[in-house]
Amino acid sequence: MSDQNRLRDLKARLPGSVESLVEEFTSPLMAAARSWGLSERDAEEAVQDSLTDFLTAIERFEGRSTLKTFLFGVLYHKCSERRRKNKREQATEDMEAAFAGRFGSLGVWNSLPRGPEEEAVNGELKAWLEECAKSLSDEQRSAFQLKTVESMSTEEACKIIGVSATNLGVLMFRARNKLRECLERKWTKR
Amino acid sequence: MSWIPSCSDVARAVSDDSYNESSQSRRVMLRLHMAVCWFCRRYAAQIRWIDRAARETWGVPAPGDADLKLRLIARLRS
Repeated sequence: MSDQNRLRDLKARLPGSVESLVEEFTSPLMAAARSWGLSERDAEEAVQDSLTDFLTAIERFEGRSTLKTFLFGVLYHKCSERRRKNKREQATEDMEAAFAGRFGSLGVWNSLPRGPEEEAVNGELKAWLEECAKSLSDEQRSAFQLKTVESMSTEEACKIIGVSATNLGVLMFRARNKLRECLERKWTKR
Repeated sequence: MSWIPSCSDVARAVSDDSYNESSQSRRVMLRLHMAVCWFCRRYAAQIRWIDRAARETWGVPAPGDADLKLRLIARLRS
């Protein structure tokens, strides 16, 4: 359904319009809220608040962004507020130094990068990924979730997180390399 | 960044998504490097695996989402 038709139905409170909105967006929004560090209960509240805010302000929604970008933007701010309340110590690992250490003076690999490449994503590897993702900062995790899992464009992801395209690239670089380094450690210890 | 990309340049372009925004001539140089460098091909395959694994892990509905949808509909309709 196009955003325009959905908005028209929601504004008119047509039967099925709220159900359709919830059906389409609940799982992706919950996945994002969980990945952004919220507990199951906080994630549910943040998703509900985001949908409520959207429905309350629907008359003022001007369609300058897509509905998906708008909802993820509201959710991102809700999650940031909750994370500030439950502030935890962030990992301070310097990814740039770890990455640079993989290469010699001419920028050539010092050793073969190792890790899963073609393997099926089974339960054990999913558990590794979940564990490795804990080392990502909130911003790195948010950028990775929006770009990789939600397949958003750079423009959409920048709008939601509030960073420049260059900064988004840095966040993606650090997120992927932290995950890869962590997976490599687990892979070689198997 | 020199005209001829090093392994470090290739790894960065693969992981920060700048490959897609590079000029055509730069992309040709990056692809040429990949064609002859087994280490960089392995690295790129690992990054592709991470992206795929993330979609399969976090891009699918969780078991409790069906019940949650019913609760949300009831609350939003009230």
